[in-house]
This record gives sequence, C-alpha cells and structure tokens, in this order.
Amino acid sequence: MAAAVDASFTSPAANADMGSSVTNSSGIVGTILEGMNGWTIAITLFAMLVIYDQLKYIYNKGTIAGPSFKIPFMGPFLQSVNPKMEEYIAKWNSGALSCVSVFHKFVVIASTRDMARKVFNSPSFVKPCVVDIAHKLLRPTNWVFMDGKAHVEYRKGLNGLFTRKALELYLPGQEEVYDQYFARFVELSRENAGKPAPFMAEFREAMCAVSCRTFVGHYMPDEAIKKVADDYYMITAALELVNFPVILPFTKPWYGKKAADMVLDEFAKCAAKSKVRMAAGGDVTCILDGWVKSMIESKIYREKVEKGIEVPSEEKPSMVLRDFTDFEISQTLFTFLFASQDATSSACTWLFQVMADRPEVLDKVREENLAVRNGDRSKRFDMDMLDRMAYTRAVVKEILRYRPPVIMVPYIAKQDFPVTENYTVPKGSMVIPSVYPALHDPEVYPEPDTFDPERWITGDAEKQAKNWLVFGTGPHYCLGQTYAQLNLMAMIGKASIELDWQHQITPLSEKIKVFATIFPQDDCPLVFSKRP
Amino acid sequence: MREVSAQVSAEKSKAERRHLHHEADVVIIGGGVVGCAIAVALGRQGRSVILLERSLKEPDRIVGELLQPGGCEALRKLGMEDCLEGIDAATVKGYQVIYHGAGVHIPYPPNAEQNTKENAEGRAFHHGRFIQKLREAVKRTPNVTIFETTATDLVRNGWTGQVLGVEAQTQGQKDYYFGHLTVVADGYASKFRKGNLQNQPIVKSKFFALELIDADMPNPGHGHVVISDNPPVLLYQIGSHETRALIDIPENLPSASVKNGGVKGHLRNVVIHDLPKSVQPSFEKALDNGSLRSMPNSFLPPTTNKVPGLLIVGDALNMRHPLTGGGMTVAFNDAVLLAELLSPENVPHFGDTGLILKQLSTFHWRRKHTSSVINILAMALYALFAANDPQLKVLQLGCFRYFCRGGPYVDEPVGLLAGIIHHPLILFYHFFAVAFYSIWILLSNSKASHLPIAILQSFAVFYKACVVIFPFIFAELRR
Ligand SMILES: Cc1cc2nc3c(=O)[nH]c(=O)nc-3n(C[C@H](O)[C@H](O)[C@H](O)COP(=O)(O)OP(=O)(O)OC[C@H]3O[C@@H](n4cnc5c(N)ncnc54)[C@H](O)[C@@H]3O)c2cc1C
Ligand code: HEM
Repeated sequence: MAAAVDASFTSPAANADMGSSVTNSSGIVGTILEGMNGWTIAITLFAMLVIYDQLKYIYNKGTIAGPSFKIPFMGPFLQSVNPKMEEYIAKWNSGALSCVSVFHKFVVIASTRDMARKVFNSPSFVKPCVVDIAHKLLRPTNWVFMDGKAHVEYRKGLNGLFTRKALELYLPGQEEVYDQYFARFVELSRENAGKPAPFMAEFREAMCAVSCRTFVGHYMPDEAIKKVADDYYMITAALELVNFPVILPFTKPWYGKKAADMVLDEFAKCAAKSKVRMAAGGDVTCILDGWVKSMIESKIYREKVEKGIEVPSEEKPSMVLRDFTDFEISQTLFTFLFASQDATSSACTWLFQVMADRPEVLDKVREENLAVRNGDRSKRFDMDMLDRMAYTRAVVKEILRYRPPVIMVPYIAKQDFPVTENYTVPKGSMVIPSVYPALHDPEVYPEPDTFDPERWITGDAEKQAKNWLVFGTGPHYCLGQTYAQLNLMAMIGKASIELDWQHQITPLSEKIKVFATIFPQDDCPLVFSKRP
Repeated sequence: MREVSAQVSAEKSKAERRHLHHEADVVIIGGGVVGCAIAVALGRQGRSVILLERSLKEPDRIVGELLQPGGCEALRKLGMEDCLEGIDAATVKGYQVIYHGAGVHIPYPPNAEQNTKENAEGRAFHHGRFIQKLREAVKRTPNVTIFETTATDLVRNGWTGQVLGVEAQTQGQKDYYFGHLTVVADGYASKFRKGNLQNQPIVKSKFFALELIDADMPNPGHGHVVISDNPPVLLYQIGSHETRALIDIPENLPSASVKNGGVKGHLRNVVIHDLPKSVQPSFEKALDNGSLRSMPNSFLPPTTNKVPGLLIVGDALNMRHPLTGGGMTVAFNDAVLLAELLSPENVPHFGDTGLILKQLSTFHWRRKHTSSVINILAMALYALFAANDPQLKVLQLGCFRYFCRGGPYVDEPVGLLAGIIHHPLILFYHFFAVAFYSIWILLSNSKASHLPIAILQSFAVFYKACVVIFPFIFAELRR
C-alpha cells in the first residue's frame, strides 16, 4: 500500500475531520459561559480552545521529541501540504520517537530501525492508515482495509499469485510492453531533436502499462491500458491533497474518483473475460488468470467434496478459494496497481538517472545482460536468466536502498500503544514507522549516501535483513516485493542492451521531491537512442 | 510514408490480436445477410472486426431470395453490388397481382432519389449463393477475420452489465471472443434476445415452399402474388430454371388439417386451383418430387438497443411478414445507416460505450424512414391479402381496384414496398386512400334499398382499417 500510505503521510491531516474537537468542547464551554455577550464569549472560547489544543498536545507528547508548542490548531499543516525531504530528515534526527500535531490529529514518527520494526510488528495495536479519499476510490469493502484475521486470510488467497513460478508466466507480457515503451522513448527523444526532456511522466506511464499487462494480460486492450496509464496520475494527485469530506465537482478528488471508477470498470471487464477464457481451458498469462484458475480448481474441488467424492491430497488446491465477483476482483487488482504504481515509477526513474550518471555501473549491467543471453540481444528474458544476473540484482537492491521509494508507512493506533517503557502512543494517533533512516544507517551500510552495488556482492549488505525495510515488514509487508524487484531487473537489463541514454545533470537532480513516493526534483531530463 | 507504414503495422497488430487473443473492436455473431454487410462496412472503415458464423457451408434455405430495388441500392452504397453477379440471379421488374383470376401489372417506378427515368429493378436468386458471395466479400475486406464457431452466450461485466463479447463452441471446444461492441446478427431464431430486447417474436402463419422447374409464368420477370379466398401465394423466379413458390398457411387452417391430408392435401386440393393455369403443371410436378419445406413468418417490432456494449440487428431485432420480401432490404439499409452513425468521424473509438449507445438510439429513430414503411406495409398487406372476414374482404377488393387505376395509385405504394420511397406518411396516406376507396366501392355497388346497411357496413370497414394499421404504427413508435 505504498501509495495510499505514503500519501496520507504527505498530509497527515487528510483524514482528520477538521475541527471536530472544536465543536465538541464548545458545547460544554458554552453553557458555563452563559450570560456573557457575543464577542466576549467568542474571544474567551477561542482562547480556551487554543489552550486546550496546546495542553492536549503537550500531554500527548509526553517524553518524546517534538516542538514545545504547536501552531494553534493547524500545527505544521502547511508544511505537510508540500513536504520537503530535509524536513523529514530533521524530524528523524530529532529522536527515535518524535511527534507533531496537525489540526486535532496527533502524529508519532518512529525513526530508528528498531522503533520502526516495533510498529510494523504490532498488529494488535496498529493498523495501516490511509487517507479518507482512498476509501472512496478503492471502495470501503476493499481488502486492504481489512485488519487482523480477515486480512491474513485474504492475503493467503493472494500469495499464490506472486510465487516465483507464477511470476515466470508473466514475463513475456512484461517484455512486450518494454518493447513498446523503449521504442517510444527513442521516438520521443528523436522528436525532441535529441535534446534532454523530463522523463518521469513517461516512466510512470510505462510502469502503469507494465503493471496492467502483468495483472490483467491482454484482456485490457492497448487503448484502455493507455487510458489507465494516462489517467492514473489523477488518482495519485487526488491522494496528495488534504481532502474535503465530500467530493466537489472538478476538484482533484473528483477527477481522481472518475479515474478510479474507470480503472475499476476496466479491471471488472478483464475479470469477466478471464473467467470465460480460463473456463475454456486457456493458459495463465497474467495474475488475474492465475487467480481465476485457482477459483475454478477450488470450485471443482468443493463440488467433489460436497458430493462425497474422495479427492487425493495431491489434487487438493493449496488454497481453497471461494468465487469472487468481477467487482471484488477488480477492487483487488486496483489495490495492486495502487500499491505498485508510485513506488515502481520512483524506483524506475532513479534507476535510469543513476545508471546514466555512472557509466561504469551501466557497462557492467550491460556486460552481464549480454552474457546471460549468450551475446544474443534479441533473446527474450526468462526466470533462469534473471536468476543469473547477480550484478543487475545488486544494482536494483542498491537503488531501492539508496532511494527507497516509500520512505515511511503511516499506521494508526487502534488502542493505546505502549511503544516503549516510557511512552504510550494515545489511541487514535497516527504512528509512522520510517524506512529511510534504517536504510541509511552508516553502521549497517557504510557510506550510506553513496550508491555502491558492490556492497551487495563483496560487502555484507545482503546479511542486514533487519534493516531492509524497503518493503515494510510484519503482516502487511509488500505483497509484490519479489515481482517488483524482478521487474526492475528485467527492465534495466533489457534497456542496457537495447538503449543508450544520457542524463542532463541539473542542480536539482539529486534533490528529492516527495510526490507520494520520491522523485528527483527536475523530473529526470534524459535523451534516449537505440543502441547500434 | 511513415504514416502508411505505421498504419500497416497497426493493422498487423490488430490482426494478431484477433487471432491470438480473439479480441477486436467488434464481434459479430452471424455471417448472414446483415452480419456480413456490417463486417464489410466496419472493416473498410478500419475497425478490427471478428465475424462468427456457425457454418460457412453454402446455406440451403427458402428465405431471402428476392432483393427489392431499395435493397440493391443499399448494397451498392455498401460497395457490395458485385455480390449479385455470377449467381444466376433473375431480374425483377415489379409485381403481377392475380386477384381471383384477374391480373394487374404493378411495375417498379423509377427511383426518384436517383434522378433517373429508368424503372428500378430488384434481383431474385438462390439464397445460399448470395450468402456465399457476401461471405467472400467479407473475406476480401481488410481488418476482418471470420471464425467458424457457434456463439453460445454473451460475456458480461458482472459489475456494470456491459456486454464484453461472446462465449462460443468451436468443434465441441469452449471458445471466446471479446470486443468493445458485440453485434447480435444471428437471424430469426436468435438466442440472444432474452433480457436484451423487450419484444419477442409472434408467429401466426408459416410459408411452405416448393421449387418449380421451368414454370410458365404469366408475366416473366415479375413477382406474382396470388390472392383468392385462401391465404396468399407468392411465385418468383430465382434462377434460369427455378421458380420459388411460397404458400402462406396460418395456424389451424382447416383445409390443411390432418383430416384433410395436411399441408400436402391443402396444396393439392385447394391451392393449385387458385394458381394461373400455366403454372399448375410445374407446381404439381414439384409437389410430386420435391420435399416440402417451411419457415415461420414472424412479427417482431423493433426497440432501441439499450444494453451497453450490445447491438442487435437484422431478424434478431426486427421482423415482418415476408409477403413483401423486405427483410434483406431492411438489413442492408440498416447496415448503411450504422456505417454512417458508427463511422470513425462520429465514433472515434469503439471503447466509448456511452457514445455508441447514443448513436444506437439515433439509429433506432433514423432507420424508421425505411424500416417502418416496410414493416407496416408488410403486416397491413398481409392482413388484407389473407382476409378472412367480410370487412377485410371489402378492403382487399378496394386495394386491388386501387392498383388497377395505375399511375400514382401503384407507383407510390410499390415504391414504398420496393424500399425506394422512404416516407412513412405516404404509406399512411395510401392506406387510408385504399380504405376510403373501398368504402366508396361498397357504397356505389349497393342498391339504393341497401344503402343504410351499406353505410353501417362502411363504418365497420373503416373501423377495421384502423384496427389493422394502428397497432403496427404504434409498434413502430415504441422506444
Ligand atoms: C419464408 C421467408 C422468406 C423470406 N423471403 C425474403 C425475401 O424474399 N426477401 C427478403 O429481403 N427477405 C426475405 N425474408 C427475410 C430475410 O430472410 C431475413 O430478413 C434476413 O435473412 C435476415 O438476415 P439476418 O442477417 O438477420 O439473418 P440470417 O440471414 O438468417 O443470418 C443469420 C446467420 O447467423 C448464423 N447463426 C445463427 N446462430 C448462430 C450462432 N449461435 N453462432 C454463430 N452463427 C450463428 C446463421 O448460420 C446465419 O448465417 C424471408 C423470410 C422468411 C421467413
Ligand atoms: C519498488 C516497488 C515497491 C515498493 C518499494 C513497495 C513498498 C511497499 C511497502 C513499504 C508496503 C507497506 C508494508 C507494510 O506496511 O509493512 C507495501 C505494501 C504493499 N505492496 Fe508494495 N511496494 C512496491 C511494489 C509493489 C508491487 C509491484 C505490488 C504489486 C502487487 C505491491 C503490492 C503491495 C500490497 C498489496 C501491499 C499491502 C499489503 C498488505 O497490506 O497486506 N507493491 N509495499
């Protein structure tokens, strides 16, 4: 849930129903102050509310780090609308636990590895927190809003779709999309007379197209994929803003909802088609097929059991699923897109930038990719090939460490949460385990701000599993992590042998902008050409 | 140059999607009259088209053998007029109506829209040969792929109800085809009306068919309609040697009951005596040799296509009594109209389901210029020609006399029937002109002493005329 989660951090007040504490207290205070004239009442009330707001903040803050006072009511709300990486880093450096309050929402940030892990691994106290608008876009019945046992059960049904064996089946579809988009990158640069142009938006579209192909294969016609990819940024944009409780026409949330409805409709169509095709004995070409196929197998199994027919244990599906409606399937596929889109686009953008800036690394990737293809550039990629790309894998892991797409993951305290001996997070607070500090800990990854794939080959980075929080940990850890890494490897490997690209370094290239996930502030100006 | 090659590669990838993924812009169920026409029209516009046909063998059927001049014209607009060549088709110049032995010649008038003095012509042929020509035209059309398979069900989006394509059976194997638009063109016995159309067909009579060899027709080059005390009989030449006879037999016709020797008995004992003498020998021979075949004559008024992703056309959507041989003319005119309404200029992308629905609503109303006329005329004429009560017989006589007056009294009515006059009001006018003419005949033929009764009778006749035509008009006005 990288996107949802991160976006809600971007604006922690997003799901705060603004000023509800104000109205609550005004009732009581109002009766006490009966008999005074209108203005005095108003001013006194306001003063009391300011004091109440401050006292509540100081009380909640307790022993942990954070400003001594908050800007009345609003807190650092304006910063959160347009977050800056430096401000986050300052916050992390202020203590293992620190806090801020925005409107009436109290936010606790866990910065160190151990504190972050503690939050990730306390499902009985916390659950993932998403912005309000996410409920409207993804629908309240969506599985990602489940908690506890229901969540674990639902996830079990999905795990089978992301096994290595399953992922192998999706590779040809992914490569087709890369063929299309690489050609497009070259064409765009050619049309731009070989001058560098920002490529971030192109990468986002390409990643969306790859995701759609992986999730729903050819059920979604190319034009529809294009449309989803085009419109997807409206969904991310809708999550960025502090949203109004209702969706007003022609606002970002409104466009976001329209885009989300369109995506849901497209995915529901795919679900209906897959059911027909798989019932006709079609082969599995995408995640959706895999899921539908296990539904069909489960149904056959259930019917046999109902009829009292003996089923040998080897014929029993590893996970007996119920039938899911087209809409349920669509909602779930949407969460995959939702979770992957911003994070994968971020990683992809940094990969192309960093490779261009470090030609020696790109050369090694290229060399390795030619070698695993026995020098035949036209050879299509497969799992075996990806397995043998040790260096390319190191590059991908290093980019995810160096520029973790999801820098922190908002959770919410379901009850008072004693996170340390001395401090209890009040129920209803947002608790945000951070990922970035653990991945830039100099004790664990020496010279953490240097991009160095070697640390994964000759160094001991691989052994630092506890710090590897790129994909979270605990019951909500990233469902798509294996897929995401394989996909990035396949992409950069293929690009290395088919494309040349140059990066125009600007003063903003290494500056980080937070747009749900992180991107270079200059949107990555590149020129692509076809390798001779 | 680059554009051309880009287009070629786009066409190639679309072809690949049809073959590999069974996916196109349009999936058409039924490679019959209207299915083929739409496939050709849309394919030529650059749409990716899949055409599903249960059997690509030459059909052997007794339907769709006479194409009215208006149908020939529509076929020309579709650029498919060559489908009428090389099938030993007979030219049709008009009709010969034989009323209780007396004949009246009703030639097709010139097509006013075409600014020509030459009389319009229709064509009659063996249905199967024509269909094979249509299918060959499809095969030559770019962007279209034909699959021999039987559609079994529609695929729907379980969330929105939108139709997404077709489930099918190919040689006993389950199969599937997906498209932005699914066109149901599977003919009179369509399996896909339920839940998608408000109306279902009503069948009140059947056509029984014989194939006469070297029949000696009173007026060669003309369709013959035989009106008598019995239901109507049609005779028209469909090849150099063959002539089709279609005999209407309503449900529960006493003279065709089992006791009276069934249909064969009815033909042998009753029908043959109504026919022109010259035709009787070949008719008798055909009766002795040939096997008797039949088809239901259905009535199905059209309604608007409202299901997203679905278009129902042809006999699946709309049927009228085949007395006037109008089915294919309606089908080809519909194809012409659809080609315009769904053209890339009007619908840039078939994924725009909402826009297509809007165009289909326009289709429903615009097609009435041709189809309403043919539908209402077929049903009303059948009611008159199969007259089985005194008022209807008055109207039947009036109708025959009206035609006998010639000039505009036949040119416009037969122009409507031929599908070359597209004005429902002209039909309305002539129908009531016939009614009043019938009443006038009734009154002027009655003795003065009987006049009061005749006046009463004339009210009954007028009432009958209204009862005959208004239900069919109202049926056309439904949404
Ligand atoms: C007795 C009779 C005589 C007629 N005479 C005339 C005439 O002289 N002139 C005239 O213009 N009209 C005539 N008609 C009407 C005319 O035949 C029809 O209007 C016309 O054929 C309709 O065309 P269509 O494309 O809708 O259906 P059809 O031409 O019947 O085509 C339907 C096609 O769909 C295919 N199909 C059906 N089900 C499936 C499936 N599940 N999957 C795949 N394919 C399928 C069939 O094999 C067939 O090829 C007559 C009708 C009758 C009943
Ligand atoms: C580089 C790419 C990606 C990164 C960095 C990333 C990161 C994350 C993170 C940090 C979380 C939260 C984990 C937690 O709360 O413990 C998460 C959750 C999730 N991710 Fe990813 N992700 C990526 C790609 C993907 C992809 C491609 C998918 C595709 C299906 C995906 C699906 C999910 C899902 C479904 C969840 C929520 C799981 C749950 O709540 O049970 N992610 N991801």
